[in-house]
Amino acid sequence: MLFFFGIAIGLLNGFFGSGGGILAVALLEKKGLSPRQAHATSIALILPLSIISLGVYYLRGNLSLGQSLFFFVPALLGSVCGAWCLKRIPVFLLKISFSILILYSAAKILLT
Amino acid sequence: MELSVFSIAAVFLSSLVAAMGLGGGTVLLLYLSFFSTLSQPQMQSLNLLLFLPAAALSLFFHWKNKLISFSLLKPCIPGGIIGGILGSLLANMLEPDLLRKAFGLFLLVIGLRELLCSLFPVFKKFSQSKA
Repeated sequence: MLFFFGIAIGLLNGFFGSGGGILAVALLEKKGLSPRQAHATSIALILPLSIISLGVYYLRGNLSLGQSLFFFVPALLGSVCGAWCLKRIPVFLLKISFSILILYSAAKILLT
Repeated sequence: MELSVFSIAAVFLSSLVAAMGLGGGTVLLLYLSFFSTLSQPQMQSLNLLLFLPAAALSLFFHWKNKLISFSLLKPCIPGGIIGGILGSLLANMLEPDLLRKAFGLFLLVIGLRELLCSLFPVFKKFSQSKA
C-alpha cells in the first residue's frame, strides 16, 4: 500500500512541481504519525523525489541552473525565518489568507 | 527567473511560508505564473530546485530530533521514484498551456481543501479519515 502512496506522491510532485508534500502529510497522518512526524517524514520523502524529477526536467531542457543557484540564499533565509515565525504568528489566519490567495489565483488561471 | 528585489522577495516568502507548513511551493509558482515569462514546466522545475536547500536544512533538524519515520519512509520511496519520473515526463510532454490549466485546477482543489479544513475542523477530520 505504501508503494502506491509513493507513486501517487511522486506523480503529483513530478507533474506539478509542487503538492506532493500536501498529499504525503495527509497520508502519513492517516498512517498514525503525529503532524510533526508526518511533516518531517514527508520532507524526507519529497527531497529525493524532487531531485529525480529535476533530472527529468533538466534532460528535457526545462531547467536552467545558472542564475537559479543564487536564489538558494533567500530560500535558506526564508526557511529559517519561517521556523521562527511559526511560534509567533497565528497559523489559522495565515491559512485562511493563503487559501483565499490560492483560490483567487486558480480562478485567474482557469478563466484567462 | 530574473534577479530582482521582487524575485528575491518571492523566493524568501515562499520558503518562509513552506517552513510554516502552508505549501510554500505554491506561492513561488503563483509569483512565477503572474510575473515571469517562463513556461509552466520551467516554473515547476525552478520550484523543485529552490525547494532543495530549505528542505535539506529542515531535514537535518528533523533527523536530529528523531522525527522521521523510516519504517514508513522506506516503502514509499520506490513507488515515489516511479511516480516522480512518470509525473515529470508527462509534465514535459504536455503543451505548456494545458499544463498551466491543469495547475489552475490543482490550485482550485488545494485552495478549497485548505479553506474548508481551516474553517471546519470536523470536515478536516472527515477528509483525513477518507485519505
